[in-house]
Amino acid sequence: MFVALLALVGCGTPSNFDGQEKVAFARECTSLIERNLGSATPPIRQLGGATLNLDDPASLYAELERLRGPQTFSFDQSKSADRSPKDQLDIPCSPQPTRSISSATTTTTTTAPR
Amino acid sequence: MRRRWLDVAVPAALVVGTAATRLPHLATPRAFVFDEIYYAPDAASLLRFGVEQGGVVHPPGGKWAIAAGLRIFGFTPFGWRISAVVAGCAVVLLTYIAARQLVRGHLLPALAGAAVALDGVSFTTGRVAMLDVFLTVCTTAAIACTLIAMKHPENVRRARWCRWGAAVSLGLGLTVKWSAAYLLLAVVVAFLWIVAKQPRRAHHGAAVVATVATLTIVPVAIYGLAYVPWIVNADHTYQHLTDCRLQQDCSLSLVNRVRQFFEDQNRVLEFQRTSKQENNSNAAPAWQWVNQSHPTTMFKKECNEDLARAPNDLSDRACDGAGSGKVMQIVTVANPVVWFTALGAGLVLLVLAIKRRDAVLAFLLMAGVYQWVFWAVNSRHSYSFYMATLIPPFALWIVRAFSERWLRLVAPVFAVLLVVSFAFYYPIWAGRPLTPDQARARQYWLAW
Repeated sequence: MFVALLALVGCGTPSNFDGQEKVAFARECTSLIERNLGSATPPIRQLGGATLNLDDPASLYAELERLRGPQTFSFDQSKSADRSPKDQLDIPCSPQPTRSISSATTTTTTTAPR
Repeated sequence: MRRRWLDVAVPAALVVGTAATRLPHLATPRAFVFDEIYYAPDAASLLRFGVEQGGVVHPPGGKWAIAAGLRIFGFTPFGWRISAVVAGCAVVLLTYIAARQLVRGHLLPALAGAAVALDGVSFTTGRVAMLDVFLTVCTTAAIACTLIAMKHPENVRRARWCRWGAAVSLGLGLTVKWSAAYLLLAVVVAFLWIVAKQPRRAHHGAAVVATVATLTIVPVAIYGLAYVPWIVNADHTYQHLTDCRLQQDCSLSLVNRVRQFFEDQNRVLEFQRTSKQENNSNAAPAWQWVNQSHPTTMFKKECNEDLARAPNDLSDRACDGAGSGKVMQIVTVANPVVWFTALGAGLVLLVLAIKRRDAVLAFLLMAGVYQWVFWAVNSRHSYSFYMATLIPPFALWIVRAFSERWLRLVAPVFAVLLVVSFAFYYPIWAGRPLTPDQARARQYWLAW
């Protein structure tokens, strides 16, 4: 069984693996942004110069598709050799308050250093 | 007459039942749950390059197991979580096997397996792509091997095989998390007791040396073997790629690969020594596990009907079908029926172990306590999902206590409460949306 497992993981990645990973990161990023907006009153934040408003879902998801859709994630080593996959989510998926509002320190990982 | 068909039917029912409770909604949410953000991409890196690219704080064993799911089902939530479900079923099966060494019949061993299957910490860790369930498979296998050997200590041949089984299990555990070593002392002491119980021979001293050597050298050797792919593929790590870019030197000799391996181990050690996590709302000292007062919330989302309008390639579906105002959360808190019964059973076993000078009971207690005490005396903050390795020995404590004549009638009551409690807490373990009142009802009795 152990040998079968080794043989299995030794044969590389399945087809469309890169595309699936990009979609997974886009969903994670959107989820982080939705949770961030959900804790804001009113649910409005800024991201990449655009305004994200949870009360206007059509515009919100159009902006997110443009700013953080699957095609915006790249795992090309040569461009991001010193960035871990999690680094691609931390700042890019943290929308900022439209005015200065302090945020809570609640975290959803162990914040292990990369 | 011995009913042999039960030897197959009972464990099969336990495994099927465990899978049946854990597979529904496994792909929800479609976002990363807690530290899946580290381990799923790390497992993808293992598939692509044979090595995790980023700086890591745990060895690669558990991530290779996650990678197997990714290889079969792709980089999807089901793909990165399915290995945890398989491992969780194995933990239940191993607990049943271990319990068979302690008590007669099938009912109490089945109850031990069910206690693990329906516990909240086992359930939540058995459905996410994190490392604790893989560590638990290894520690539970080591406990089962030790108990099999202790049942017939005079059987030299069986003891030798079990010693190797325990050593390999601990070695595989070390390749997942260093905390597998917490169990080592209890296993070594148990096998030395077995040697002492065996018929006296001329080479008795050699048997002691062989026991200690097997249980220390084999795990370390397995740990080293697990890093062979790392050393071979070290040129794909971010550390090397950054060095390569900054220093214009991209060569990597074998000596440099081995040096980088030791630097990597040093980084892991440094993380274990300095990780205080004071600012993490989910971290808590391990002594707080005693009353389950600080569970880890692995995922939480306030539901809103507008979230359903997210396009498929952006939607995490965490709140699928839930109306506004509901809350979806995954909380790693133990099943209170299992946890508090186990604490009581532990006290019963402690009294019995002292009164009867029973080595098997002493090992059983050590197997649970050692995996808690080392965290409790460590200044490093811990998380409630670290309790995953405690649940199988706790289930064994419970059924061993129930096997005492004066406690036998408590077992059916425990079984009923176990199922009722599981049904009540299921939504916060499986991430099913609840109203705020329903969510509060599940935490009101704890300072959580």
